[in-house]
Amino acid sequence: MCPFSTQLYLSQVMKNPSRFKPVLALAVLCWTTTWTSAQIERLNLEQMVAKSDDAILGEIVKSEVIRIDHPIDGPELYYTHLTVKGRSLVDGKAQTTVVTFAGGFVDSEHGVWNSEAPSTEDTKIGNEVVAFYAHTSNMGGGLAANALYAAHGGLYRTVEGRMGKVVLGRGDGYAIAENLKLPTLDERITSIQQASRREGGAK
Amino acid sequence: MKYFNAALPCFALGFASLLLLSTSETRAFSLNGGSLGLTQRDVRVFNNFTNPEANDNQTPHPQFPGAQGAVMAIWKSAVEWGSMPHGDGTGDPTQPVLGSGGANFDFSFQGEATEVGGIDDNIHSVISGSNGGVLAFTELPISNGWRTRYYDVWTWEDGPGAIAVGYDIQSAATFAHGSALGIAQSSDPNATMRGIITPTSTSLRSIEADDIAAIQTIYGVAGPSKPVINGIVIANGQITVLGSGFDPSGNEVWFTQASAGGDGTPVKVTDLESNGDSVAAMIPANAGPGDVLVRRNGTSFGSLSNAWPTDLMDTGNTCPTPVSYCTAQANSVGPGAQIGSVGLASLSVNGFSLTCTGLPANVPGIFFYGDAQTNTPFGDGTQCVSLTIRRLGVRFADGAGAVSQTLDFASPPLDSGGGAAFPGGTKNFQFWYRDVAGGPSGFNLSDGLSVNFCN
Repeated sequence: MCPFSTQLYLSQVMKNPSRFKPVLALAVLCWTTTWTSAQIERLNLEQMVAKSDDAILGEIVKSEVIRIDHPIDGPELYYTHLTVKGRSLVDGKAQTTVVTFAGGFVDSEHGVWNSEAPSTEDTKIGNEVVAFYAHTSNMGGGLAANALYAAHGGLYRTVEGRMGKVVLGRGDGYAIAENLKLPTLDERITSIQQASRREGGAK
Repeated sequence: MKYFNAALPCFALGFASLLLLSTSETRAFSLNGGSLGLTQRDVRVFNNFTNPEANDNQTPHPQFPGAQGAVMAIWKSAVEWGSMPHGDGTGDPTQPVLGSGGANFDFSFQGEATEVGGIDDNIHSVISGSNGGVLAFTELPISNGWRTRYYDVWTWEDGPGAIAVGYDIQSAATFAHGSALGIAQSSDPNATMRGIITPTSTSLRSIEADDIAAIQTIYGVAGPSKPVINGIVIANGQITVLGSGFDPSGNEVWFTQASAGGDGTPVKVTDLESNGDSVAAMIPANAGPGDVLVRRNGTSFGSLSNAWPTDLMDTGNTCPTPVSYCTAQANSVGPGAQIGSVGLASLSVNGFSLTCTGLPANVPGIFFYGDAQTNTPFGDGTQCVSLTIRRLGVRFADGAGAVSQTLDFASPPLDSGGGAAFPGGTKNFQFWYRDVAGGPSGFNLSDGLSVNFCN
């Protein structure tokens, strides 16, 4: 069973068979991770850009899971910190950012699967991703962090195509619904930012 | 040859794509590989929602007795995944019937918790703070249980009708229960497990065809081996659960706990006999308004019935309480055997059982009955029943010296002829048993029980 984004991607491959290398398509076929569901906000790209602090394009270079036991929010709160090294899609500057989502395992026996977390395939070290994030002073259990905005809905993998990098969309309701060439995403985010500034809403 | 080499992966890709696209038309859901066993059917709510809209529904509903506000909304979300309509199926004005799963799975609502609980305690609760665009989440050890959290930053509403502002608790909880059941995600835009939530929407309250296919894939389609409850009768502190598929012995009746707290384990009455269509039990003091379920022998997903709502109040059946008479004589283990009963002596309910306690362990005996009473020495005891005696078959006392027998008013000798029970009629029952060590005759009898039958 392929996740929705993979099916969308395959549809695009079928309509434009010459645009992508077969090997890329086969690689995407194998990118099947299903541990995501959705109790997240329905967001388009404009809304995601407006609500998040930034979007980073980069490589996941580190992954760490922490456990918090909180007197009010409860025991065994697990959070995963992903360190992403790359550049901002908003201003283009180089940055290394730690983004955080709920869920994860500190070892093979201690941790939780979180229904909204990105899949383990999506969060592998070495993956190149686009991550939207926003700082929050309390993600639960008093943890202040750059929350991966909308959890799995804020993380999008890239793949290399013949025409350049492609950001894999997740389907209707997600900020990046369909697969986008990376320059197209760059342009759209810049355009959204410029429009926001014209309206006096720049961050 | 070059053409062949190039074509092969393309054919393979095309075929694989067609398979995937074709599959998506009939099965859009994906599973996370886990399931909830019979020990993980409980659902509790730690009602720490802070915004008033989350608990402003204070109108009771007969299908959700004892619950209001967020607790009722979450209970509704659980029963929507149930195998068949919950009671009469009403309670949600946005859909005609609650209880659409059709699978070998039903939750056991266990009321309110008093704390957040651990990651496998099967509790819904609010978590402080915010997590970007995440509204709620479910933590999933899966086979050991789950925990669902709702971020406090959002405005939550309990319904039951349209949602004016904020997010619908029942919708989010329906989705959360799907996650807890083992469903990961659906690509079907109509499925609840697609689940991108929008403010004021109640569309996720009702599970759809793809969600139903998912739960039936995990737990199997509800079939003939799954016990079914279709009604209850309550009188004189006893509940008679009506339905089908109950085992001859070893049944359990599960109740919702009366007080908040606990560990999620249902209040249970165990080792209950049945004629297949009804199970009778005394209502435990720690049982409260909620759901009852019947578990028959077995450990399969389908060993547990559907959930049936009840406030545990007397349902108004006017069957008289059976009356003891006559006096048992002492036997080898004590002052004498005492006959009793469980359930209503209702011919239509057909869930009445005789009991006898105070017997020597493992001895054989026979329940018998007649139309008249007497008080005549007989063997080492007293005969309390006379006129035409009818016997109900040999039973053996258990190791604790107890025995029971469920009467079947639809079968001989109770359904016809002189031995027939009829509304308003009375029969007198007694238990005869072997007791070689108890006296010179080697047998004895219980006291008598006069039973007046109702319709």
